Amino acid sequence: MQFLNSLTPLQWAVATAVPFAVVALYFLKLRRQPLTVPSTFLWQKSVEDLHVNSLFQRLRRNLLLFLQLLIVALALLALARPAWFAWETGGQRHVIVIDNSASMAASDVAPSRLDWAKEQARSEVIDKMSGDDAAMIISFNDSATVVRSYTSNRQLLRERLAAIEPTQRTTNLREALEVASGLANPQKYREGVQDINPPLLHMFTDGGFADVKEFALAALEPRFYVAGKSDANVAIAAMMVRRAEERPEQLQVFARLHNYGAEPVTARSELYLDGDLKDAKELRLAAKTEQAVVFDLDNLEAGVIELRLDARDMLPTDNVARCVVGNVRRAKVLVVSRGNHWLELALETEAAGQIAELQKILPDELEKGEYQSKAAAGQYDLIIYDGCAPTTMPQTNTLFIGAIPRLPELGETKTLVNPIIAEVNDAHPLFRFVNMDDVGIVESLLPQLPAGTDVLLESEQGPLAFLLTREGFWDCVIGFGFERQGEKGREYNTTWVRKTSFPLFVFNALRVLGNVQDAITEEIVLPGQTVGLRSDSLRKEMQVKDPTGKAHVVRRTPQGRFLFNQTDTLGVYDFGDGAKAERRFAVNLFDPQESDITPRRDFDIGHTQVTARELVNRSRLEAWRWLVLAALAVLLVEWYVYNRRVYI
Amino acid sequence: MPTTTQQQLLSNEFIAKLEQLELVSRKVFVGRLKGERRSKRRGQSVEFADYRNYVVGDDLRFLDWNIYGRLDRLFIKLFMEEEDLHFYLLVDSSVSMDFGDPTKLFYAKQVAAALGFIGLINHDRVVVETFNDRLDARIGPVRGRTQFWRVMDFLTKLEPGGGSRLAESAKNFAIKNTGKGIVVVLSDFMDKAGYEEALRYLVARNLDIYAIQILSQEEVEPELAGDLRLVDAEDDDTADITVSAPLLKRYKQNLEAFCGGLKDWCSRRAITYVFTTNARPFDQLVLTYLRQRGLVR
Repeated sequence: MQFLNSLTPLQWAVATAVPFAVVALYFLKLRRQPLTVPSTFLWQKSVEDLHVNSLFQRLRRNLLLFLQLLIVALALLALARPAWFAWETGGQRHVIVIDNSASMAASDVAPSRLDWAKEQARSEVIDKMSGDDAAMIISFNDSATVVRSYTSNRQLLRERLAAIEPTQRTTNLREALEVASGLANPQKYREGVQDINPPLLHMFTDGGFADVKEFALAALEPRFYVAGKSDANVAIAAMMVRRAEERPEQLQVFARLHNYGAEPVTARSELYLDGDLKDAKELRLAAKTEQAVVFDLDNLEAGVIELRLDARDMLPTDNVARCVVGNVRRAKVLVVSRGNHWLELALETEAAGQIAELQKILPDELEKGEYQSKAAAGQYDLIIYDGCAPTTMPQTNTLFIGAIPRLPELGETKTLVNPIIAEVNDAHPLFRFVNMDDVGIVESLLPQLPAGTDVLLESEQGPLAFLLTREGFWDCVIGFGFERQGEKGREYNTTWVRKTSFPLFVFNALRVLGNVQDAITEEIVLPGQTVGLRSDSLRKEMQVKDPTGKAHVVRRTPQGRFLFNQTDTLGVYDFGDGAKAERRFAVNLFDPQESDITPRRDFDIGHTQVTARELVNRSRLEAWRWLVLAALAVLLVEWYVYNRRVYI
Repeated sequence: MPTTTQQQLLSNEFIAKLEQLELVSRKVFVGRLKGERRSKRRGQSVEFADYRNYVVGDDLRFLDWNIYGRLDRLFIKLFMEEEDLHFYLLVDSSVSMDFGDPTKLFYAKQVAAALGFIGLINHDRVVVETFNDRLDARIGPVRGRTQFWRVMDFLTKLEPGGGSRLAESAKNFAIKNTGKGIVVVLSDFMDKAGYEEALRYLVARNLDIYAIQILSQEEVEPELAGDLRLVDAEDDDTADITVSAPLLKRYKQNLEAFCGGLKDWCSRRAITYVFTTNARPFDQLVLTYLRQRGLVR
């Protein structure tokens, strides 16, 4: 037999007080004061009359009737199916899914949507659970967390529920659903076998996510409680910092402001540099529109640009955006060449010099220990092999020019003669803005490529340039060298080196393959996203200090990078060795789904449309606890009546 | 002459008022001694009543010789007989009478003294008997004003005691007293065995019966509260009560029914019933109520 805690502490207190009260009443049992009267004749008659006339007095003497009533009451109670020790026979199972993404911080339902959701989950699900019901709690944002696995202990559920904290992450319901269906239904839904009590999936969210396609809820019965009632929100939808084309020392801050509300809003946008107000603009945003705002900043070496939106809306989280500028990390590039005039010329341009730090060695040095140790330790960001290939591939990105890397997946190499360029993959960053028109090629090497190789340059005879992936590194191969040994000595192999597109390609290669990081090239980091960081030092461990000041230790991966995934908080993170910040990056909530806080009343999960429940539809409330308490109260009253001889 | 103790029962002023009164019997009874009361019997008094024919054996002294002279026939003159009256006072002296302020017994003694005084001054034959669970003490028959002090003394010294057995006492009374006359029963009639049998004994004696029921004000309007164990003063019987409005209401209904029942029972048997409480001044009872009921005039 198992006992379940089905009463609140207050109810327990009342219940345990009853026996004490009975005992107290027993001690308080009447001590009648004797009084001599001339005759008890009439008094006795009166008392007897009252006994006879009183309904309760009639009943009181009839013990059998009481026993019968007791049996009827027990039978009725049995019909009401009170099952308090029935784990195995299966009570209702509940899966409580609570959205704690950034949009749930909206304060349109006081104090916040998350608090509302927690309160509703407590009152609508946990409080209504009967003795053998079990519930689990899952919180989700862009990932799902099992807050509490199945338990019938409602007190524990309440505590765990209260412990759910808001996050500033984006929303993805799919993972929560996968976790829920995986854990909620361990025996799985089988065809033709209907679960007696299909688990109820209670989703407390504002619906700020995309429909979940291709997902089967199976035996889960969804219930959706929509959090929130207002759509009043203005957000910084995007922010970017660029150097002005004509004046490189000047920075331009572009921001896109979006009003998701149904009412026009006047908002003031303020630009701060390292906390100092630099500029402000007032904007009027019509309902459901967006507007761009541009700020100019002069002579900025480095700093944190912060754009604040002074608007009274329901979600303040997305009213701030930050960007770190002046954060150039130059690529460490090793060129292995016997001397390539054209390549050296392209690498020595001013633009290339700003982003790359060059080092040159001869192909003969490939066999030396210094190179080998540095290459194996991932000291370089990019190694350019001009007309040569190493025996062992380095732990870094590579660019091969007129040579084929020694990789086991590559097959036999053939030579293409006078290939004609048919197609340029200009969608790839390496060949972006690279014009290959009128480029002639005499000879090009082409190995047997594995299936799925990214082809960058295609000729009518086969690929001329392609990109291979290796353990997280890229190997870019240009099949043709720039010079070839002709009959009359050295002669051009291609006309590309004379075109302006060649230095542009080299610049792209340095930027993309060399892991160059700048405000200009910075990708947007969203909350919860994993950030790959590179360090110039050889330390195995580095530190990332989050905006709250908490330091997180990150370890170097075999690829020489540091991966940091605890980007939960919006703000600026410092990456360094603990003493000095080597690099800073900002995490921003640029997510229209989070900023658009309009509550959604229905969404699709697979082919199931889930509609928000009206909370006025009260579900069944177990009343047996109150019946038991009432019975105890009746017992007390009966005892009182019996002793005090109260008559009606 | 009234003494100090007697004054506690009757004041001089009240005695003066009683002087004017006499007892009235609705029935005219035969007395043994000549009294101040006309008898049904024709007798030897100065008051002429009637004539009747002479028969042999009549006392020749009562022949009306004048009529014989005129009519030559013999007539006997009949005169009203004046005789005395048996006046019985039955006083309940059980413990239940020892309640109230003044106690019911004291009140009964006052009434008995007043009525006894009236009887004595009218030369009635007054008998005072007390009873509780049996016929107890007795005084009389006494006659004449001079005996009043004895009656007073007897009443003053009367103490409550014993239980109530109305029937037993009435039975003994009926056996013991053969004289006709008036009997006044002063009691609360609170006998668990009932009053009917007792009164039947008296009715059977063809007495002119007056039942004066005396209750204390506490019995009529009980001022009780709380949880009580009522102990019967006579037989120590107990009744556990919790005083409540319904209980008090029921008690009053029962009391009313009890008194009403007694009254009905008496009326049907030509018994004069008088209800009083110790709150009613006893002189008012004697001078007003009993006069209205015809016991005194």
